[in-house]
Amino acid sequence: MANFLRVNMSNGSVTAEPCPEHYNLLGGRGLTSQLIFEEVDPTTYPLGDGNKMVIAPGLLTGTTAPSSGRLSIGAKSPLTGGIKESNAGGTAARKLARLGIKAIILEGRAKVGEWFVLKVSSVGAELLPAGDLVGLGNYATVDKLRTRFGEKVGLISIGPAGEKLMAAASVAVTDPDGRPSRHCGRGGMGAVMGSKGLKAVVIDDAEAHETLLDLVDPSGFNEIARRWSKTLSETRKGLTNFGTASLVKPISAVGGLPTRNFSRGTFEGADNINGEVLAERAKARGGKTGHACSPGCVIRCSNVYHDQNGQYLTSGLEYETIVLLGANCEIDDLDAIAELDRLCDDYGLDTMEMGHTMAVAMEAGLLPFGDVNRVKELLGEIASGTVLGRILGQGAAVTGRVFNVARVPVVKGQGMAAYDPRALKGTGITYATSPMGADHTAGNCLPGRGGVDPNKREGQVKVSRELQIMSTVIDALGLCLFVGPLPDSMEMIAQLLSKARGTEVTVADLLSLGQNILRTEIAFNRRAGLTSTDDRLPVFFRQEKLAPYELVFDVSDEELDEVLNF
Amino acid sequence: MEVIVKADATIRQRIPNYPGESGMRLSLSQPATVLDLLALLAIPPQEVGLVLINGTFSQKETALQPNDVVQLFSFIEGG
Repeated sequence: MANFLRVNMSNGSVTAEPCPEHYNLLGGRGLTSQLIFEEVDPTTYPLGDGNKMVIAPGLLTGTTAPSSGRLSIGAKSPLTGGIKESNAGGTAARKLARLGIKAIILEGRAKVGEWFVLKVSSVGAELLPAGDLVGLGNYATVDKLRTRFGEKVGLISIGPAGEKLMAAASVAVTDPDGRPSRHCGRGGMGAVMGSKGLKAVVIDDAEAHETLLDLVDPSGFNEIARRWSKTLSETRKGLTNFGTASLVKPISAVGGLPTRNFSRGTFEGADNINGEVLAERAKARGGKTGHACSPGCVIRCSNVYHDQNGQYLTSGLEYETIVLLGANCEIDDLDAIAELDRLCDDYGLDTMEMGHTMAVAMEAGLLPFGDVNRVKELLGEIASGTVLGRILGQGAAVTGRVFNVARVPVVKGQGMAAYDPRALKGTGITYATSPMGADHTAGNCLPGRGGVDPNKREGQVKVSRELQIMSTVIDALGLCLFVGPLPDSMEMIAQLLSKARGTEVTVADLLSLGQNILRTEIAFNRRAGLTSTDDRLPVFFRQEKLAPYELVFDVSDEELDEVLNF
Repeated sequence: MEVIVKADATIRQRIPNYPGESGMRLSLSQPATVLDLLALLAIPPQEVGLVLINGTFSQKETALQPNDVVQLFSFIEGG
C-alpha cells in the first residue's frame, strides 16, 4: 500500500493519504515534477507558503534493481525560478520505500523562528520541535539525531545555509555509514526546506515491510536485476576504482576542463587532482574508493577521504566538486579541495554552485585565485549570514551582478557543471535547454556519446535530446545516472517493468514517459515566466575562444529551440 | 609502423608490463585501425569509451598512421 504523506507546516498536521492510482507508474523526478505542476502556482514566491517540496523515492527504489536507491526532491527553485528536481543517494529513499511512502509533500510554512523535525516510522509520522538543532551544521545535526533516534535511522537535513534561505543551499542525506555526505545539491532545495521550518526528516524503517512497486513476476524481475547488476559491476570498474574523478583526464584531453572561471580548458595542476591521486591517497590514509553511497549499489563510485592524520574528512568527493572548487578556482591541492567539500557538506551548500561563486568572486578581485583560506572564510560568512555571505550564498549569478563580472557561467541562474560547453557542445545544449537550468545530470554528452566529436556542433542536438529523455527516465525510476543514459539501460528497465507489471513495457513507452515529464516541466517553466530566451548560454561562450583548442559555442538559437520541441 | 598507446588507469590494467605515464610503443603492420590495435592488446572494444588520436576525437575504425599517439579511455560516466 503506497501512501502520500502530506505535511502542513503552517498548522502542523501530518496526514497519510492513499496514493491515487493514476500516480502508480510515477516515481522520483516523474512524481515530484507532476505534483509540483499540479499543486504549485508557477508564479509563486519560491520561499513562501505557496511553494511545496516533494520528497520521493524512485519507482524501482526498494526492489532488487541495481543502484536504485536515489531520492528525488522537487520544488519551485529559488535559484532558477523554475521547476527543480535534485536527487541524491544515501539510505533515505529505500527506507521511505520500505515504509510504503511514495512521497512526502511539504506544504505551507512554520512561523518564522520555529523549527521542526519530521519523524516517520511504521507507527506513523509526527512533527517534533527542533529548537536544539538550530544553527548546527549537518554533521552535528546528524550526530544528535542518531543519538536520539538510533544509528539505523536514515536522515535528511539542512545546515545553516538552508536555515538562512540561501539559494545555493543543499539538502543532505545520510549514507550507509550515517554521514551527511550525499546531497540534493542543486537549485536551492535546502532553502525551500528551510523556508518551511523543517530542519530534518528522521526515517525509522524498523518493522517496515512495505513495497512501492508490486511485482507480478518477482522471480523474473529478480533474475533480470541480477543479470544487469553483474554487467554493471563488470563495466563500471573505472568508477569503482577511481570515482568520478576519473573524468579529469578525458575532459582535460578534449580541452573542456573549466579552469580559472571558465577562461581556459586545461589546468596545469590537473595531475594533482585526478582519480588516480584520489584513489591512492584515500587508500594510503585508511579511507577507500569503491564505497557504496546507498545500499545495493553495484557501481560504488563513492569514496571515503581521510586527512593527513588519517582522520575522516569527507566522503563522496566528486569530479564536479574537485574541478569547480579546484581547477576553476586554480586550487590544485586535493586535501584543500576535500576540506572545502567537507565545509560545504556541513554548512549545507552545493559544492558546484560554490565553485562558481568563488571563481566569480575571484575574478571580481574579492580574493585572489587559488586562495584556499579566504574561500574557507567566505564559506563561513555564508553560514553565519553576514551581508557578504548572503550575497555569495545566492550563488554565482547574483554574485556576478553585485560585483560586475561579465563571465558568469550560468543558465537560468544555475552554475554549469565541470564541462566547458565550448569543448563539450552537446552538454552545452543540455545546459541551455534543460528545464532544470545548467545541469549535467539532465543529459551529459560526455566525449564518445553518440559517436560524435565533442568539440564539433554536428550531431549534438540529437545526442542532447536523446540523453535528456533517457536521463529523465533514469531519474524517475530512482536509478543512479551511472547505470548510463543509454539504449542498453532502457532495454533493461523495460524488461524489469514488464516483469513487474505482467504486461509488456517497451523502450518506446519509457521514452514517451521521459518526454512527458520534460513537457510537464517545460510547461511549468513557461507559466513561471521563463521563455526561450532563457534557453541560452551566456554570450561570452560565443565570443571568447577557449584555449587550448580555440573553441566557441556555435550551436544556433534555432537549433536550441528545436531540442525539446516534441 | 610504430604508434604510441596511452591507456587510462582502468584500461592499462589489461595491458601486461604497461610502462606508465609516457605510454607504450607498439608495432603494427599497415594498414591498421584502432580496432586492430585493440585486438592486438586483447582489449574488448566495448570497454573503450573514448579514443583520441594526436589529441583529436576519433572513431575506432580510424586508420592509424606511423607515430600516431593513441589515447584510450574506458567507459566514462560522471561526474
